Amino acid sequence: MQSPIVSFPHMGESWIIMKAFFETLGLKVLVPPYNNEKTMKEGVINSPECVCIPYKITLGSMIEALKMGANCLFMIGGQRTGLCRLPQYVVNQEKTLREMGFEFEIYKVGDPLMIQRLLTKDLKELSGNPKDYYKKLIKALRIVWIKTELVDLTNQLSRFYRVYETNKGKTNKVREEMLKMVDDSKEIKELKKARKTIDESFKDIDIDKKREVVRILIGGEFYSVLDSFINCDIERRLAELNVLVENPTSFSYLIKAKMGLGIRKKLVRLGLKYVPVTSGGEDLPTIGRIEYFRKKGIDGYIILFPMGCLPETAIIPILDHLGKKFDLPIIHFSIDENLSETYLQTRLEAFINTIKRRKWKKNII
Amino acid sequence: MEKKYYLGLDIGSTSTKAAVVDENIEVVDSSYIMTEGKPIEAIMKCLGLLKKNYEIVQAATTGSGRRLAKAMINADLEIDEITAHAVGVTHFVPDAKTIIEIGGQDSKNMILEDGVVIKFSLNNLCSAGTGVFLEHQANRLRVPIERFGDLALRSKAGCTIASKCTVFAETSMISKQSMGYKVEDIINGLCHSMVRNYINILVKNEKLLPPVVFCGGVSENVGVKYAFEEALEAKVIVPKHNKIIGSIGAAIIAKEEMDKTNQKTSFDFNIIKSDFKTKTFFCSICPNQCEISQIVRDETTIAFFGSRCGRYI
Repeated sequence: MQSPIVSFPHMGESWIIMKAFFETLGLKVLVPPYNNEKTMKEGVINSPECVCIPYKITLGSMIEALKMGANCLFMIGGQRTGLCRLPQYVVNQEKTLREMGFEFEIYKVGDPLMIQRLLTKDLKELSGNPKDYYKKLIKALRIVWIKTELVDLTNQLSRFYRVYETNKGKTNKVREEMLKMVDDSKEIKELKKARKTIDESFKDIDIDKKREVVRILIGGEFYSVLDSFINCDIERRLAELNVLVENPTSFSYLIKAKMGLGIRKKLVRLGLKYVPVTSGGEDLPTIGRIEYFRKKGIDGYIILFPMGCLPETAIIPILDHLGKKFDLPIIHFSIDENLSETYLQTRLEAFINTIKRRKWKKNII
Repeated sequence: MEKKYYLGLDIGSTSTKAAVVDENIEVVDSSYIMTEGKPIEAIMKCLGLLKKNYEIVQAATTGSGRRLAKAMINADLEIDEITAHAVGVTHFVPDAKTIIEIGGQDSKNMILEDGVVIKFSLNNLCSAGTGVFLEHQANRLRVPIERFGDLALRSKAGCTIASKCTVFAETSMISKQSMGYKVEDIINGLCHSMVRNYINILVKNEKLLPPVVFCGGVSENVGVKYAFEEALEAKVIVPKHNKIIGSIGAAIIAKEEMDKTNQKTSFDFNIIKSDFKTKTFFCSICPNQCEISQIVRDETTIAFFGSRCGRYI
């Protein structure tokens, strides 16, 4: 086999983390262009019609990577991943890609055993059996964790500053710069400095703390929540409507959840109060978040999921019921390639305005 | 001191409405014309149809063309249709609990508590169950849409027509016609099918409590009103100004905003005299290939629409 060029489909800013991991191991990485209309088109025409949007867009992303010269793909898969249809996806996608005439290796990432084999065997072979492989691997894993935290921190801070900034658009610029800086930092030392730089650069943004804002929680299926392309950049749209977005789904949340740590366990327990079984995916945390974040004083809850996503679709009636019980306005959007921006914008505006008016009326009385 | 007026403009897919209210929220003037797919011309005409050039202190736009209109006439606010209609309706019927609004190409359902919306839904599947559906069928039957309601009331038997989809409804209607049903019965069936559709798509398992208010262009149609009364087993109120209630709501919100901020508008009736042009082009900088439309007023660009990345704002 010729020298491996590693690639992977996009999901939000995850490419920064993945790229750093493979590069530290000494592999050549090719990052496909960020999800765009072309990716979507490629994915849609090569997918079954009713499959969910993450399948289509990841397929499109992989096609783009292969066309650009990648020959080694990494994709989520494995028996126990996600519990929804997700494990099946990589199998189908591989078949589609082979039928299209591409030649490549594909590695499935998911089950603990798979990851173990991947780390101890496959990646070692791919990077050419270096003597200090394990030293590099440990460094790579450390960098992954630090970068994950930094990406999440950048997103977290930009959510806050986007709402309060006095000159519009500044935060988005700073965010781009910071993400680029995180991507460019290759050593652990640099990354430690990067954290400080991120804090300082965001503090430099002029803010107007008196602005009246509404606090909205975003939840649901994680691909639709994390990928700003398929959700039409919902966070930016909300910030323009003076909404402080609370988005607990992050890359560190996913990594922690995979290891059985973090907040997800608690959310699942809260969710189990209302639904005794899980149908997979993020259904229980989506329910659990209502109770958990209600105490923290949120004004509304937006749930995003791909069209046809079984776990999330199954819980909609329960969510409507809980919305009434906890007096929390809830709105859900099912996302597919036909989601139009105007459709989303109109409903978001209506949702936010009704919340604002409710608050305003309460204050009058 | 001169009297202060507030302007609300509702640019819908089918019709464009303007309303002027005074400080006591009395509707002093209004106009209603068909959009006919030319919103820019429609806005101009609509403003031109008002009786005189009022001293407007604040202007607000709503409807599907609200962004365009806001940029065009220098309005101060753009308000979504849901809020505008809810505010408009609660002004006339303060204790309304349910609002049914059926317009040209969309239908809305709002559930209110103490005069504020607590739940809303807009049709998201297709336009079956909106004004366009009835108009299309009226054309097929060669019945003027204005007489649709009266004819429906004349029906004694009624008939069942498939709802859910305009095409299926048409198939079902043709089969009923070939069975020899009377036109009145078919029209009555259509009204009922529309109501069923509305309930299936928008209401689902929600309880619609009285007082129920019905507004929007289709509320002119008494057939649909009676069909709703039958389906909901409650009296349906069609308020005053039912067709322009969205623009009245926008004007009321403009007044509220004025009370809060006390900033005078830059809106001016001279805007009607300006010359508007739109240009569209494809941005080829990134692979998104956004289709961007540019609005030009008297040779100065006032707005861009359609950019995904924010390069053109």
